Amino acid sequence: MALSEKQASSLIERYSAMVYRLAYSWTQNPTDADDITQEVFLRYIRRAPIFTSQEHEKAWLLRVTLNCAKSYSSSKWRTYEPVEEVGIQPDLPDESVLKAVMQLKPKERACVHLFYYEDLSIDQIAQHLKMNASTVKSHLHRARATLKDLLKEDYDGL
Amino acid sequence: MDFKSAYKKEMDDISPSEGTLEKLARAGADPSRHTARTFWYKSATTWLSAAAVVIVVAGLIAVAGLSKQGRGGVGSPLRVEGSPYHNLKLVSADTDYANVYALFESQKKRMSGNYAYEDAKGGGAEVMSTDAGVAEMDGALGDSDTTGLTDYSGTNIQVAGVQEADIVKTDGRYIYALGIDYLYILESNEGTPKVVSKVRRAGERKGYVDMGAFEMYVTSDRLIVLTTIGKIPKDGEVRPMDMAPGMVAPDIGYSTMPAFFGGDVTAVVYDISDKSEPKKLKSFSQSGSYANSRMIGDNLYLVSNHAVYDYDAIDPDKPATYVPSLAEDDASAPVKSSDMVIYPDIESTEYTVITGIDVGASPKRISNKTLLGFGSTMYVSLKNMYLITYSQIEEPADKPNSKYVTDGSDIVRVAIDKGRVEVEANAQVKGTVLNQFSMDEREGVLRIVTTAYRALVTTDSDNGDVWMSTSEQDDTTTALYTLDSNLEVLGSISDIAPGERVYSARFMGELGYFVTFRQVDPLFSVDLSDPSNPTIIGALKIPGFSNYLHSYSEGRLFGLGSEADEKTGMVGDLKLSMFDTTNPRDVTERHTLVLRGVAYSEASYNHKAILINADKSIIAFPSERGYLVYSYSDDDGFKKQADIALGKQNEDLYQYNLRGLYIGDYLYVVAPVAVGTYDLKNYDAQSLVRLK
Repeated sequence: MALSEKQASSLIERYSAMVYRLAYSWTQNPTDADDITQEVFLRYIRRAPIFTSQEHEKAWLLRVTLNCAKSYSSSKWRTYEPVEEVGIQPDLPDESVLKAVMQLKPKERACVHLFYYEDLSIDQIAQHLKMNASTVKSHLHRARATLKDLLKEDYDGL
Repeated sequence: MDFKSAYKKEMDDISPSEGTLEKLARAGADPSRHTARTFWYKSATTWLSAAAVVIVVAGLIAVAGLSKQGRGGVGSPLRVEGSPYHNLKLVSADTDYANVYALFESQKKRMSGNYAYEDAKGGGAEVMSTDAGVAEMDGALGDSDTTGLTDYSGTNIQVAGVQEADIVKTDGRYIYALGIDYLYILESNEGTPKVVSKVRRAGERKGYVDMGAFEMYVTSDRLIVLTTIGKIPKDGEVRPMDMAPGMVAPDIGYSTMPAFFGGDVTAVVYDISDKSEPKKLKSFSQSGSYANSRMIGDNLYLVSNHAVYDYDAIDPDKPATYVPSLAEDDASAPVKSSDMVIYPDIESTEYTVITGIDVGASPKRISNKTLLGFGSTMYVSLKNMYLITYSQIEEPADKPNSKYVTDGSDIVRVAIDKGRVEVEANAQVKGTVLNQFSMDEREGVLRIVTTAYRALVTTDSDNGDVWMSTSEQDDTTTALYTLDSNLEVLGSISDIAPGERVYSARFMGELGYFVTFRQVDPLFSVDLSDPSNPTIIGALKIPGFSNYLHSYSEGRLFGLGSEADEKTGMVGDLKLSMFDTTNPRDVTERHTLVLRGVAYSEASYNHKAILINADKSIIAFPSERGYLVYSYSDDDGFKKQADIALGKQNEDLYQYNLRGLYIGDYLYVVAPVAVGTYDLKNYDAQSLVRLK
């Protein structure tokens, strides 16, 4: 049984940006992020899973987004394409923090996004990414080091 | 400046495009429309060990030359030789769970750094949740002294004698309806129904969030209510979601979303010899989330999927921490190791629990078998349950670091008899099934029609990232197999309609019909009279497609589906079709009607939501806003007889989870908050009873 139209639109209102931004941080590509966002919501809408709280609903959505993003290929019709070949929002200035993050490896980007944007704890990130907490910590550590090198300005919290 | 604020600030500017939001909004209104074009790859490590992969690949190469109809490509080979699933092995001693525990140990080790998250079990080819096939209108639930000779409609089931659960039931005199807080029993009372009793949908169980009843079965003196619960998480309070009633999630489609923190499925058996006072007799629980069920006579077969989430809690001395449990009322125990069927080469730590329960004079659980793997789609005949679990088949590709991965189905045949369940055969075939109507058993032969997606998967040697690409044109195909009782392939037709997938299927004795679609919908007719040589004898190309096929009367096949643009494939409004199948080699579309303004019906993907009876000339189903009733005649085609709205425009609770049924001269339309009665001759409103 599916959701009603009202439930579906309230769901989209609440979560579409969150899903999109996580998908974007992984794929670095707005078109792919759009596609993944659609896929994630379709799954939700069709399956109408039961959640015991909004926290859990959010966690489910994040997990599914990561799963989809991970599997998604940036080229449906061609074979394997080098990872560097991605489009970033063209109007980002050079000093853009986001641009620097986009140069990290996908797992590091995901850790950074979930930690700094979604405010998840190390343990929560570990659960979502199916890693040990110590692995998450080392990803964040390496990410911070790389970002420090890439960013010209000094940022607190790195 | 603070990194976190800078990052947040820039990320806040990133948003999904207007186009995407529009598409989502439309998808929300009609999930059945959307075509998912991508294929989601599951990490091989969770399904196949390295050894098994080698066996599979070697077997495929060996069999490749033996395919009967191979045109190359995805269609061949038909059957994966050397599949690890061939070796059914029971864990031997009663108290020895050591083999099972070992699987969890190795899974735990593999989990760190392993990305492929299994949560969304639709982590496989996403097929449209459409539903089709032959459904027999269940005329009578069994002899019932209270009904006399009243004519009434039963749940639209696939196989006569094999009951399926639903949210609304009738025994020809009483109507059983799942409402918001209660399950109501109403006496139909010749057009003016009244509530005679009610049972709370959800109970109170400490430490649990009781999701409440979601479906039921009714026999002459038994009401069997299926309910599910989830455990309250350790941290954080539970805020029950604002979800409308009846929207519990048994996903009887391809994969099941497990209840969030693990939980149980419970069948509660009531004695309803006195309808005004249902008496609870016993409850039977099993670990996991609801997958599927059927009832034959007094025997309930209940299937659940159980995954172990908390690896830290696994204790080798406490089997209940890593194997499923069964309970009768409050007494719970882990399943016996001798009832577990594990495959030595498969490292799965998810279970499918199958139980047989006798709900008759003295309700008791008769038997149980627990398998590895998450099977939920099933087809059940009077003698066998065929359970499908999604799997993948790998083949080498001639590109560096690459391989082909094709969707597959692991089929298990479970013999069922008076509550006893026995696992007897298994096999793996390429392709996935749409739903239960994609399978049918006749004279011991299983006929199955599948869609196979193949993807090219490449691993980045630097960082281990996995990428895949599919070319929908080349790598999607449809196949039909006939299998014997050992699930050995007898015959097949492969590479039917390349680039398309199955949208509906129906088997009728020696004939089979199925619909594939990409932009145009061929309705294929298949001659199945010789199982070793299934043959396509006809293909009717029509615009649009059918999601659901139903044998209306002799030589008449009804299809509920949608129209679609022939050039672009864009899906439009709902469409009713009546096919003339008097000559299966030359099927024609005798009548068709596009329902303007109706884009969506639950009936497109849930066969239980449709009511069809040729004698009464009724074809009725819910629309987005209400309940529609059509009649059919060969001369005049489809005619709208009623467009029923139980409540006002914006009153959600009157507009979904609708079911229609007839008893005698009246049609009863049931919503979670009300029952509306209409006379069958001219659909005049008779009464409206609110369920409180």
